[in-house]
Amino acid sequence: MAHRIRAVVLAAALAPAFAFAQQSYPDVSFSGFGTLAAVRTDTDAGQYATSVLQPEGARRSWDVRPDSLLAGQLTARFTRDLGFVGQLVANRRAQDDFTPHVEWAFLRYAVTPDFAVRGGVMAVPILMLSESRLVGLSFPWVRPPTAVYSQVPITNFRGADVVYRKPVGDTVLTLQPYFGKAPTDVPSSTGPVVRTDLDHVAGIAASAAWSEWTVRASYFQCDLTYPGQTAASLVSRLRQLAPTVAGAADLASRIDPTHKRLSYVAAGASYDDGRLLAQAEVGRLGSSTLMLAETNSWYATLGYRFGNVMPHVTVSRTRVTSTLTQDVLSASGPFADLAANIDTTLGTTNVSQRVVAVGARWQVLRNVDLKVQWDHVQLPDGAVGNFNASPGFARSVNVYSAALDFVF
Amino acid sequence: MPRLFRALVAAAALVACPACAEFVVVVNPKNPVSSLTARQVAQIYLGRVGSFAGGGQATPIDLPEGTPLRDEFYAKVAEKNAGQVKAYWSKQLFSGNGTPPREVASIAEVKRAVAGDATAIGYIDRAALDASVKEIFSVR
Repeated sequence: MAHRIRAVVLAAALAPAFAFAQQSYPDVSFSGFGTLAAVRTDTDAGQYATSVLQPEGARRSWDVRPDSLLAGQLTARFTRDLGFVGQLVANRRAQDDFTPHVEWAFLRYAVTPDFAVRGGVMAVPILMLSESRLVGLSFPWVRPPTAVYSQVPITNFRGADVVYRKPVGDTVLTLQPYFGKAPTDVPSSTGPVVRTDLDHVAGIAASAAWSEWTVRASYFQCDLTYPGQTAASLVSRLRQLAPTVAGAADLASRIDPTHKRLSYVAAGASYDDGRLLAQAEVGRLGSSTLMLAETNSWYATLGYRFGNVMPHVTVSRTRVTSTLTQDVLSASGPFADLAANIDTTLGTTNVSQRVVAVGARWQVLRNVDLKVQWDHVQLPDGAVGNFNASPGFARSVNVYSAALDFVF
Repeated sequence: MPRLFRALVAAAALVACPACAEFVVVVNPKNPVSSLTARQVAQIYLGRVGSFAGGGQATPIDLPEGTPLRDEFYAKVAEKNAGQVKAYWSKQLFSGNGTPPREVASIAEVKRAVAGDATAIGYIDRAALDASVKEIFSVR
């Protein structure tokens, strides 16, 4: 992949004693990756989005927008210890549909070979594939299991981290604390894109790798402010009722998504011996605003490589654990319309789902693969799962996907 | 069955690569490290560690993709075929976690790079082994 454009002339000018076989600086390389994918479902009643950060989504006709992407990365080393990584990605997001955006841009300084500090725009290390979730060639599915991964939709943050590695026998331990902020654009069905602030981001990821095993555990927290119109109008109407309706002020503050604590705890393990792949992750999203449901989610994948073809099966689940209805306003009283509005709004946060996915990855070339996948999504009463839809739009949906991944 | 499969793979490798059935992993003669396990070599080449066990910084030197000795090396040391190595480095590189080892064009250049850099580690045919580098691991 490292399609090296060595600045030979520059390097020669900077290092007159430049020995033929030695590493020379600056060492600049350009590389990239991409996915061309199509996805369709068997319903027009809802739209399948792979993340809450995507507007709209796939229906009954093939749609190339949800999963396709193209990315370019510049990797530079200025000295043995100081480097830069910049990555531009064009994919479907709330605002800049397929207009390239800066996904990473950070400086890395290696204090020792196994202790580095980094600063800039970087990946948030939450789940096992958080840093590589866009790199289709590196995983077997068309997309990392959405029942878990759509619970942590942000892909980067602005701030700093420390990466510390420690080999202990045959095991390599990695500890990565980080802090910063993550402003994120969230699409809205009722108005323009909502710039959402995730401030005071702080977290830590601990990983271990030994022989065929990799495990990761992580904790993430932040302060959320979501200035969406729907939430703001519900909150303001409830606050007007506060002097006369018992519990209205309390409900308003439970809904109000302003400076609310979010947390995510995750643990995962992967076994890959070259033929058998077994991988599972669990996560818990904690939220102190009713505009974002608290969830428990998990997936488990089994795959087996027959030469260059790997069939795999994944079972996954998202379960909402927080309340999805209000009991302050009566559905038949004078504020029935507001009660219905609140229940509808909370209902759309019901992301519960069970998914069984079967697929196969065919490694066509070293740097190209082809994938097909069938997801059977079951939605419990009133749940919308990953769909942009009205609660209760379907009990089960089939999602069909095909993808071509490449790196260069 | 897996044992039979493994034997078939090994036989296929021998047929595909009769000249490179034996290779050695080498470091600079000044390097205090005297031997490594296959797993320690793999961890250096996969970028999981940046230094020798009990030693200083490690700079792995690779042969170009598609070189039979390279495929043999990764199959024996890391139990990964060329596509799996590519997928692994795609994940590491594009998550900003590291870059694959520097590649040089030939076994002669691997030797020259290792002989000229106290932190370097490389792999070469046993037949190419001489006093300019120090053997720390071998596979038959």
